[in-house]
Amino acid sequence: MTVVQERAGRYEAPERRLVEVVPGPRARGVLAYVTSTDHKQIGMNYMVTSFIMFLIAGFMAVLMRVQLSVPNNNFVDLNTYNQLFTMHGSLMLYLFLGPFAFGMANYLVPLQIGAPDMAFPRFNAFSYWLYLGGCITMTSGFLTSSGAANWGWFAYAPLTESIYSPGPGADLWIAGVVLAGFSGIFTAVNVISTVFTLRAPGMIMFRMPIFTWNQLVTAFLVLLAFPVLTAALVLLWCDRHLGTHFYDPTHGGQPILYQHLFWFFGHPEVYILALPFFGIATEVISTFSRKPVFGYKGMVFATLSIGGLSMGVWAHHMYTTGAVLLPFFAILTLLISVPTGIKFFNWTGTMFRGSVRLDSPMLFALGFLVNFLVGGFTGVMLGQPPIDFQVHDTYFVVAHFHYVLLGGSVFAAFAGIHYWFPKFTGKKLDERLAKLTFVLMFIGFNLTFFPQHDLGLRGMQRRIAVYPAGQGWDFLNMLSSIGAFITAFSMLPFLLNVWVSLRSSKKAGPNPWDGMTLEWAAESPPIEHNFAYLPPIRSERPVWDLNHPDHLTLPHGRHRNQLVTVGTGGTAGQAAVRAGAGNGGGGDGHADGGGASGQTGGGASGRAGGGGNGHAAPAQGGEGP
Amino acid sequence: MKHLLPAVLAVVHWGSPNGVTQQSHYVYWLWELTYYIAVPLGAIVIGLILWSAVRYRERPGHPRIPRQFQYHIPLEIFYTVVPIALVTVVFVYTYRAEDRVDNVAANPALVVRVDAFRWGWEFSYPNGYQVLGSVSAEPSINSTDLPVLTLPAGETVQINLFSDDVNHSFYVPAFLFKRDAIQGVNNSFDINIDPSVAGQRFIGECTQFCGVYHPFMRFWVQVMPKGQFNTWLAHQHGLHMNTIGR
Amino acid sequence: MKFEWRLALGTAAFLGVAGLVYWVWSGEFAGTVMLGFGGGAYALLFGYILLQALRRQHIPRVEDRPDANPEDGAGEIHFFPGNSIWPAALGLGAVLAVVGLAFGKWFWVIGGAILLGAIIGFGVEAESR
Repeated sequence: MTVVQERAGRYEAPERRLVEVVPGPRARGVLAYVTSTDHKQIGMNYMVTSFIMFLIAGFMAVLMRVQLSVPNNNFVDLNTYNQLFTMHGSLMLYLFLGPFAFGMANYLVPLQIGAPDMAFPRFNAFSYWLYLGGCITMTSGFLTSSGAANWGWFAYAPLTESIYSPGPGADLWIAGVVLAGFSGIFTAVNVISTVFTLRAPGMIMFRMPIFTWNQLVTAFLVLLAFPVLTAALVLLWCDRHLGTHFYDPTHGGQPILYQHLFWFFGHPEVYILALPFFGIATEVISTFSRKPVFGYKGMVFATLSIGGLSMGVWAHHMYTTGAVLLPFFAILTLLISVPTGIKFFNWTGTMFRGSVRLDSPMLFALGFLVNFLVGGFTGVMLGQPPIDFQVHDTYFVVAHFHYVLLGGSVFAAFAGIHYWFPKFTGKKLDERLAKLTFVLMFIGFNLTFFPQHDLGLRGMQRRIAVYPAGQGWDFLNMLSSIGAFITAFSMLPFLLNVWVSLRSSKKAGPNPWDGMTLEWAAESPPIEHNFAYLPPIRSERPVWDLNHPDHLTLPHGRHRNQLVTVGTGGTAGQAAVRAGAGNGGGGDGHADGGGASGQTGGGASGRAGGGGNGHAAPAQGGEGP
Repeated sequence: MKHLLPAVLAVVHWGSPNGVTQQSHYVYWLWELTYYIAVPLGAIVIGLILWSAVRYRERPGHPRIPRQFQYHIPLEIFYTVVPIALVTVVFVYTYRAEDRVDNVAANPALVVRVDAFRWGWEFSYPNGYQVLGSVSAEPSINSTDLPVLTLPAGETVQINLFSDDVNHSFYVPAFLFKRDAIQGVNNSFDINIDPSVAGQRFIGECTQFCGVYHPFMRFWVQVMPKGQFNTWLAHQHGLHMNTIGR
Repeated sequence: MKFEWRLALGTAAFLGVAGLVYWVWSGEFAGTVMLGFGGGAYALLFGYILLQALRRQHIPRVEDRPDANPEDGAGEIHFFPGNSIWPAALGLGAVLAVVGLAFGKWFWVIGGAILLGAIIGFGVEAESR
């Protein structure tokens, strides 16, 4: 006997499930920003601050490329150049990419799992203030008389000992990294607690969107890596100021110890800077192909194994020291290419036989795929010790990590910005300007960094402010500098786009892209504590299930039926969008997204072209009863 | 056709240059292996991605909902196993190449001690002859007056690498090889230069950032035929100084 | 909570095994210690989550039940504080104290004072919830 449970009023707002205490009157104006504990505000703070850092560091890159455009140049002096490349790397790695990902995590993880906020809101705000302090502290090194730190972003001892690098700029760098590091640790604690304890009912772990999964794995890596970095830098500071000799070889210290400590942080850090952006690309590709992530579980396990393996490969940055166990690190490094390859095939499989919309977020995601693939292959080359002996610390390596981090992560970050901008602000970015941004960025980026592979093979070492003519480097360097200008120029249409779009009066609505995951069920921007009501969660894409109840994920092994076409309504996918708290949760006939026992759904009235399909197919992709 | 393919490959080959030491040929071989796996594989993957995006693109204003398939276990196993197999192959050859590149012979024909310091190089030969080159106060990068490391061709030369202060790295692009000089780490490696390049001169560089004059820390490697080298070395004594970049 | 503790256990086990293999193969200390301590840290997390799961006697939470509906989670979720000045004050104090790494004593004194005040303020606020 089938028991159909009476569920009247199911989609009316459930009783308020929050407790909030606000002592005293509500803050207003600037004070509201300073005192906010809302994860959305904090996430925005992170993203905006880190984007400013990105622009500053990008400007430094342009200065460096001017210096290197012709041989024997005197555009900046040697010491200034050294400060520029140090701060470019430090800002990009410690203060832009990581914190930008944390900002995304802050804003989106609670939304994607249906939580009202992060687990520790005040702690969360505290970590942002530490990060902001880190930004100001590190960059203020330029204001000291001896200039900013000038030793490269990984600050190898003994060059960083006080006899070689005196001056407060160096100490400010240490202080800045320590602050940013603590901010990262606190954010990681927050993300893990949120994911583990604040998921919405029905949101089992294997229904979390890939973005949230990747942020969770990233948080695990942060917890392992950042304390080691902090420890390494505290020891360095003790060497500089308290007369200890941890890294000072003249008194029995070990310079190689610093490298071990640093890269034990540094390699997981590389994946901290990559995994969240893999997640963004996954979400974008899935949404813009109108299909579930192909091989969702495989994708999760691939992420987990990338995370795991990345904890055991730190010394592949130290092959040329001659002091590490080469085969151990070589095999683990090469193995990382396997889960990464799985991800690539899953991304392709998601697009395969989909309905691919080539809107700006998707273009950036495709750019990410192409660039990251190149970076991945050069990564496999660098993972082999003999080849690393050849190209380590040359421009080949520079090209490699820019392909991974700029061509990969930053392109994915831009995909994310264009994708979630409507969610963050309620306004959509202008498509034409966005596409112009993409074209300029893609051409500029490849023109800048592809020639650098060849420069490295021709023996150009990194971190040199000047180089002699006549070594076959001149033309390639000029090409690279031209590319850098194009890349820098691509920021203009983007910034213009943000400015114009924010001023426009066009509202984006809660779900402009026909998104699949829970954040698209919230208002744009989401109300305080995010959700007035939640759709039922029966798969990893509850909003899709709600909007397309007759197109649920198929069970295993059914692949060969023909495509199903939706009768055209107005603009793409708009007709199907009804999620959102804006309609007051008034229970006006929401379709049942795959009820637990396949009972009749609500009358799917108002669906353009869908035609009153009252029966929801059984839910898939999760453990239905 | 039989002759066309190698000719085309010779023209479009964008990979690494070959080296001039015995060890470097292993590196080059490994490079070739990886290159010829990576380039076709990369082309296939990029091709698949772009083809999927273009072939299945949606025309604006004509939304359609495709089949919502998610899993295809055999396919997933296939694209897990194939990369593992490729990685295994690459690792086996990496391991062998690494063994040969890193091998230090018990009885080298010549042992040279190389000291890197801020900023310059010191090369010490077994008979007490030393070459010391340090960077001048206002160096010019175009100067070719660099310290010269003279080495015999066709013999196993062991280089013992030391640093007097911060980390440096001994890099000769033509050898396809570099090794860091770090205090507290005793680094030795062998090179065996091909006799065919005897008489030629190669540039050497420091690749580990070591402070403000890092770009100027360069040197020459002068290769001599074996017999000529021994006579030459027998006539060298004491300390030869020069100033880089004057 | 099954998957949560498995995740922590898996991480701990991976680090432990990697550390052991690394130690036996290379005999190098720094990496062994870091892998070992990393494994230990995740073992703590595993223990904590497992303890929570046991305390619940394996009754799944609503977020662990695939068939749970939103209304099943009705009731209090968690305490979410409203606006608060103390995180920013705490941040200011901590940043000044850390900047003392570069500029010394006076920053420690001022930063420490602000930090202390912020901790007291934070505590009082948390008490009055």
